[in-house]
Amino acid sequence: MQIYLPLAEMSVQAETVAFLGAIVGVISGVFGVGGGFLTTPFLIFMGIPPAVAVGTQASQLVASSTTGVIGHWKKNNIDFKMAGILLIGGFIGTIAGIFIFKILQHFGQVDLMISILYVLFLCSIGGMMFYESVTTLIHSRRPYTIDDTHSSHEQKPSRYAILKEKLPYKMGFPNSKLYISAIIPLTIGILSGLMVSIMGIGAGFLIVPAMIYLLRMPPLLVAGTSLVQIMATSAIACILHAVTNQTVDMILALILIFGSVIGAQIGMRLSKYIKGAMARFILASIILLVGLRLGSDLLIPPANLYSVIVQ
Amino acid sequence: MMIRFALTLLLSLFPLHVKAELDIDISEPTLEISTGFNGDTLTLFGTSKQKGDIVIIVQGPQKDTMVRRKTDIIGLWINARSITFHDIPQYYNVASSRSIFDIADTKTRIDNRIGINSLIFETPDDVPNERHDRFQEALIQNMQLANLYSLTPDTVEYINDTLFKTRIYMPSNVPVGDYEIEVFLFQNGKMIDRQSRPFQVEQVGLTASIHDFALSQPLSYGVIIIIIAILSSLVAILLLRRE
Repeated sequence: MQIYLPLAEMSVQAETVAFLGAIVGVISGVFGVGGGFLTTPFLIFMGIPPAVAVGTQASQLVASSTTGVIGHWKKNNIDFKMAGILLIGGFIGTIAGIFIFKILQHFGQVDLMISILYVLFLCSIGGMMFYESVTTLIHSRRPYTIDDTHSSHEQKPSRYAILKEKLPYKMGFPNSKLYISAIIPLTIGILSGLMVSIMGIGAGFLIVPAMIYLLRMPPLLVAGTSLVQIMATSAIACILHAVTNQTVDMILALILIFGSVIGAQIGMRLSKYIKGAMARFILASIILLVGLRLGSDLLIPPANLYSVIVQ
Repeated sequence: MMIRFALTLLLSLFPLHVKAELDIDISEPTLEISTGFNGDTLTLFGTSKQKGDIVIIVQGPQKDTMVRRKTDIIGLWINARSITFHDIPQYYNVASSRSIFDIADTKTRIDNRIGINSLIFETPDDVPNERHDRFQEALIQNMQLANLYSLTPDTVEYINDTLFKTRIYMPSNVPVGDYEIEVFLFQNGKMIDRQSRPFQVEQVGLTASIHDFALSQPLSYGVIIIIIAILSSLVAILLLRRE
């Protein structure tokens, strides 16, 4: 069924968009990432103007992450204190990012900067997670449903571990059973906020690995806590896009939301079966694939060298 | 003053178009885009008092348009050169009763913008001719890929000696705005008459309401979308809850 989008000023096949929404919903439910890194390129591939794609996918992230947040909340799988500090950092980062974006624009080549950063982030985070999860899977004699993050990491303290000990403003996170410096989650929050406003993407795929490898949060709490952060930042981003650029298409948003709330339900149920290193392995593969795909756009000679922008 | 008066008098005595050779009408005076819109075909009817060659041009809202070219710089394909063209029709379609190359000579075609090869795009940028042509060519090709410029001219059919018609396709991504329909009558390469009429493409109904709401009250619009997103996930949780 073809549906006309009032702000994108074109029509799309509703089933395809709903299906895309459902897939992203499943991924969001299982892994606790937003999935914006999938939605945006796919919508652009369908011919939707990039600005509308970026603005509208934020609304879908709110829907899929709300489902996740409520599900994890009921099971008490959320560290709200940690989420709060990440959010404060995220807020600072978002504001700072808007200024940095303006400075980059002044020097030109923002697009290039963004795509290179995007590819570097996706490939390095995806690559690290991929390597870690594969080694864990190979060395693990136990079934992968039992989590084994910590076993592979109990070696002599690294430079990072020493730094982590030395940082001031230590704070207790009872839910996560952690006693660490608030500077670490705050920095992660700031970095994710910078990414949201400079690169126009949610930063779930940055926050989730950071929580696992840097904060060493209990894996059970990672998905729920990151979803709280994603829900809040996406809601703010969506409203900002609607107000500043008028690039949120309500019809497109409704179709994506419809697909993703159903997908998120499926994902929540699947998350019981996909856990630990296996979950990280799948997520790492998806991140790596998207990163390599976008990277190839930079490296492979394009079929059409020319692009048109209506002003 | 006297001269102008004399001219006015003269014109009213011998009006130039008192006997327009051409007249044209369209199946829908306004193309209305609503939720189910997926492109549409317009039928244009016209009458011509004399037999001859008919050319019909439909062109859309004019906007400044930038064309960028990717270049290989240290192994990365990045946007390098760009040219901004002024007042580029975002839609262009031509139909004729026989090949436009046989109907009129190159100069007439260029003067009246008949046919894609007769379009000359203007730019304030100071660029060499060769590059201008390459970028214009690329712009036209991209517009053709987006179905906004016709790939081949449509045909104008004569129904009888005076009545003719043609069909013009408007794709689903047709830009909203003001269009112009022009009809030309040629005889042996000479333009006998030219008529034009405006034409609109606009959003109507729910589509238009959403569009207006998004532009007039962006904050409430954004907040409502967020509320819908949260509510629909709550509804899904309640509906799909396993007992």
